[in-house]
Order: sequence, then C-alpha cells, then structure tokens
Amino acid sequence: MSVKYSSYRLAVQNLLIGMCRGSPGLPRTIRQMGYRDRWIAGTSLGSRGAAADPVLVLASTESRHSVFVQVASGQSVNLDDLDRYSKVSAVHLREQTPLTQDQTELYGVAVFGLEEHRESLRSGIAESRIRPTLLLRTAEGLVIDANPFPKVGLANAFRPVLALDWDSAPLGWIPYDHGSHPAEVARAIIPLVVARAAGGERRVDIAGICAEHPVWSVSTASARRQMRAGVTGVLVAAAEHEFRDFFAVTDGALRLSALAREAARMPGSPTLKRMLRHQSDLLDRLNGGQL
Amino acid sequence: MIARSRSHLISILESHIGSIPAERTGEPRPPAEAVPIKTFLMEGRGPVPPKAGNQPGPLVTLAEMATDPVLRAMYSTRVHLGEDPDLATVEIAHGEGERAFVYVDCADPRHWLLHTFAKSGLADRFVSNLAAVRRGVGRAALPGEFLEEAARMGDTVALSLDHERRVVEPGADRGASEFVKARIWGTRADRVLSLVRVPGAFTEGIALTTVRVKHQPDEGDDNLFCVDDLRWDGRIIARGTSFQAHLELTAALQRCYARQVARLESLHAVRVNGADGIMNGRSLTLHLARPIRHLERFCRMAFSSARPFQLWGLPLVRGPDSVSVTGVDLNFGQALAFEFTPEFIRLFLPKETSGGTVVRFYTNLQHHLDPRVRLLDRDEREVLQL
Repeated sequence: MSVKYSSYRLAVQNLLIGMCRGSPGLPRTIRQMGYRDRWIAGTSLGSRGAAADPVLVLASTESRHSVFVQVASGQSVNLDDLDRYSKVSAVHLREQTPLTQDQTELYGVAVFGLEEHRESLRSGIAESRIRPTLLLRTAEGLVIDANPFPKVGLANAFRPVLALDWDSAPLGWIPYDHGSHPAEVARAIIPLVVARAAGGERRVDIAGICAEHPVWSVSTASARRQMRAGVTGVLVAAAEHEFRDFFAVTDGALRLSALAREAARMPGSPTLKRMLRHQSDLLDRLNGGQL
Repeated sequence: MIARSRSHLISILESHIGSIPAERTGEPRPPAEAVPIKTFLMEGRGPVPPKAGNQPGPLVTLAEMATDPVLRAMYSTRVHLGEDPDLATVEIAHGEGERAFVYVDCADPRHWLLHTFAKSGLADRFVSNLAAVRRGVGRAALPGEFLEEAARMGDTVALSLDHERRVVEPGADRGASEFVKARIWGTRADRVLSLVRVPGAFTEGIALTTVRVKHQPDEGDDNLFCVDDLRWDGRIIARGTSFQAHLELTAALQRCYARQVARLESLHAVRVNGADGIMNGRSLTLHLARPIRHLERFCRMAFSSARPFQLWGLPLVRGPDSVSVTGVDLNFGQALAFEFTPEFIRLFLPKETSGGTVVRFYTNLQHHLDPRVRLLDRDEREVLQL
C-alpha cells in the first residue's frame, strides 16, 4: 500500500529527533554539534492558557544554545504562538524547565514551513516580535530562508541545503499526535489492538492505549483530550465498518470478540490475513476523508 | 510424574537423563527409544506489568494460561503447584494416549524454564500453544552470538548451520545460493565454524542453528557431564549423565538472553521522562550486508503473520526505497515499529514491548535473509554486548 505522510508537524518532529539521536540515513551535523531533543511539559513556558508550546526543543550544552521548534504546515504562522516566547526569560527557562544554564545562554525560535508558502511565511514572521529563524522544506531537504541561527555552525549546516530524503526519513519516534490525520492514528493504533487481541484480552481501555503514547506525560491537558478524541473516533469508525466482527466500542473501551482473540493467536490464519485487508481498507477510507 | 519440590524435580530429571545412553562424542543419531530431556527458554511476561503493583505471580499467570479455553480445546491440562513457590508441573494429555508432564521453573519470574521428557512433537506443539495464550509470554529466540557465548562453557562437539532464503526471496538472486544446510560433528567443530565465516567462504554468509556442547561442572567427576543441543529457537535438548550440568549450561544461556533483553529495554525503549524532559530510547538499527532487493515483497511476506517471522502488519510504501510498518510480534503479542530501506532497518521499541521482540526479529533475519546482519546503535556499535 502506498501512502503519503499527512502531517508535516510529525515529519519535522521525527526528523529532528532522528538527527539528534544518530538515526541512520540522516545527516549527523546537528548531533555532532551536541544538539539533543528535549521535551518541556505543557504550560512550563508561561502561564496556563497562554504558554508557548514548542513541538520540541533542540538544546546543546557544547554550543550553549537552545532552539524552540515551531511548525507551520499551512500558509501562515500563528503570531500569538510566536509572541508568547517574548514573555520567556533565561531565568524562567533555568528555573521552570529542565534546560541547563549552559543550554540557555543563547536561545531562539525556529519555524519550520513549506517552500510553497515561502512568501506568506516570510511576511508572517516579519511581523513577529521575536525574529524567529525560518526554515523551509524543499524537495532536496531543508534551507534557511530568513533570520539565520546566531550560531554560525548551526546556520551553516543548512547552507546551501541540509540534504534529506524525505521519503525515508524516520517517522517511528512519535507515530501520531493530537493533531494527526485519522489515517495516521489508525496506522499506529490498530496494531496495538491486534496486539491486545493476541494476548487474549477481552476489554481494552482507550485511555490505556492513549497513555502508551511516548510523549503522553509531557502533553498538555488540551493535547491529551484531542488525542483521546482522535483515537476514539478512529476506533469507532473501524468498529462500525471494517473491524465490526472483531471489536466494538462502548463506554470508553474496546470489547474484543472471540474471533479476534482466537485469530490473533494463530499466526498465518486466514482471519489474520483478512484483518490486514481490513486495515488497508480502513486507511483507504480515512485517507479519502470518510471518518 | 509430578514434581513436589525443586529437589524432587532434579531427582526426577537426574534419574531420567541417566537412563539415556550417553553420547560423549556427539554422534549423530541417538537410539530411537531414548527420549532426551528438553528445556525451553520462555519469557514469562512483558517489560511492563499490565497493572503495576497488582501483578499476579508467574504461577498464577501459568495457571490462567493452562486453563485457557482455546488451549483446553486441544489438550487436557492440570496444574500441580509444588512446595516451592516458583515451581509447578503441568500435566497434559492430548488425543489418544499422549500424556506428558511439563515442569515450569519460574525462579526468575520473567524468564521461565520449561523442562519435559515428552516426545519432541508433543513438547514443541504444547509449548508453542501455551505461549500463544498470553500477551507478553513467548518463546525466546537465540541469535548465533548467544549460542556461541553459552558454548564457551564447554566443548563444542557438533554444529548445525543453515541459511534459508527461499522463504523470503524465492528466486531473487539467480546463481546465488538460496539455501545452505550443514551439520558438522567432531571435537573441533567450533574451528570449522570460524572457517566457514571467513569472508568469501559463503557469499551470503551462514547462520548458526544448533551448537552441541559437552559441559562438565567445574572440578566435577569426569563421568558427570551433559551433551546439550542449544537451538536457535530456544529449545535445548539434553543428554549425558548429569542434569545438574545441563542446568548450569541452560542458566548461562538464560542469563545471556535476559541480560541482552534488559539492555535493549533500558537503552532503546522509547519513552519521555516528563520530569527531566528527556526522551529515552537510543537509535536501534539493523544493518544488512546484502541489500534487500524486493523491499515491498519482503515486507509483505515478513508481516503476513505466517512463519517464520510471525509478524502482523500492513507495509506502507513511502518511496521506491522506503517502507514503514507498525507490526505486531504474534509470538509475544506486542507491537513495535519498523522502517525498511534496502540497506538498513530502523526499529522503534515502545516501552510496553519486550526487547525479546527485537532479538527474535534479528534472529529470524540471520536465518532467513542475511546471516551477516548487525544490530547497531546510534554510534554504529554492536548493541548486543556479550
């Protein structure tokens, strides 16, 4: 089955994690400069309801620098999101976040956008009070388009282009998030359901599936609500159509049928192969916008 | 016979092993009537108990598994608890006249040992069926490195080698050897292994399937020994004169497996610690010495749920040289994510999934795709530190 990755936000998140962690097939420059992915629990960067909410933070003790990453998938940047960083101070970062004094000697914001929205994104960040670095995704990789990083070594890593093969960049660190397309959620969670069936479980709490998400512990309450709603929506859609013989959704939980439990314990069974076809049909339907 | 205690179990198995003609030199064929002892290495639960703090003991888990309706449809089972709190005997009957005892030793609550002197067909089938009952319980797979490590405890007297690519890439390489099988007997069998691994000896390499080791306990009586076949599928077949010697060898293999699984989980399982804002989970990559030629076809086969991989998942083609799969290891009933390119495979291990799933996949790749595959970390160092 062919698929186009639907979320640029997740693609950037996974790419940066992969580059910081030395995933094969990716440039190692950023890792060699000491940058590592850091996660800041929601609302740590400001007051409740008005906190800056970076996708992640790239922090380097060696370079004495941190970059707060924002992603703009569309034509515009959210100026409110950017300007919240203007209320963040170095003292605040040291006292309220896990970042160290070395990592916050210099800090800034980077917006990752798409090349096709170059002009509108340029105009948008020009209006921001914080002068974020603008990086654009091109067919060849990532380029800096405006406000280069103050750390020359980091800026040079993107000049003329940080060469990337987007088709094979990693996506497995964070498989889906609260803003994911339903197809993206289904790709990640239907296998979790099959895994539970393989273990003979009869009832699976949807909250438990969500809590297995790798960044659940640092997600905001709002992001958790959205994620749970997204997961529930996909499971209900699957239970009403392709997987109706295998599970039902009631009271915030999945009830797995005997057919699902027995099939999942018999490797190679026709029923397991049928479940693969159902998964493919579900993704096709969700990609087509039918939830 | 039901084992009342660990000492009783050892007495039962010592007396059984003593009744089998000893094979000091690892001769190829045992007498037909002799049924050797078989020991199976199992993982008894996943890395994260379903309800931490309220986790039933391993024998409670075993009792639930043995009374599972699907298993009961195939076998009549009774669990007899021993006086020792981590020992049980599962009495099984199958069809007409097939009856056996499987002794379950849960001294290590996660890594169990199952001993039996049932015939191979019944023992293998029952252990596989039992493992299929419960999430997080599965048979251990042992890469060649683990077998070689355990074999250092004794003298290698025989080896089985194989490489079977016909399953995953039928007719993929015209002219290349699609399968190789070899069995070597002799006290210098381990030297032969190093010879067949010389670069160029076999274009695609060759994997270690079984190593037969003669082991004597330290400072022991020369007449007390075991001759064990350590197999890549976690089954150990014991002959000789000493069950205690067999237990020592088995424990070494079990420790090696448990240590590597724990290492994979502690260093490579992906999760964020909210307090310090650090995501744990290092890069985990399988580097292939020989690129996969038909990537999508290979993934469809490997994730079809069938043997040998027993993985379920829908391969998603992202580009000509890129396929992603969120898969389920049906042996353990646990999920993990894979990203394939022709030259390497990225693995992403969730914190709820056993490191044994990675070991199993790596072992299967050794036997069915590329015996020279390497499991490497972010700095391209070997992950398995033996």
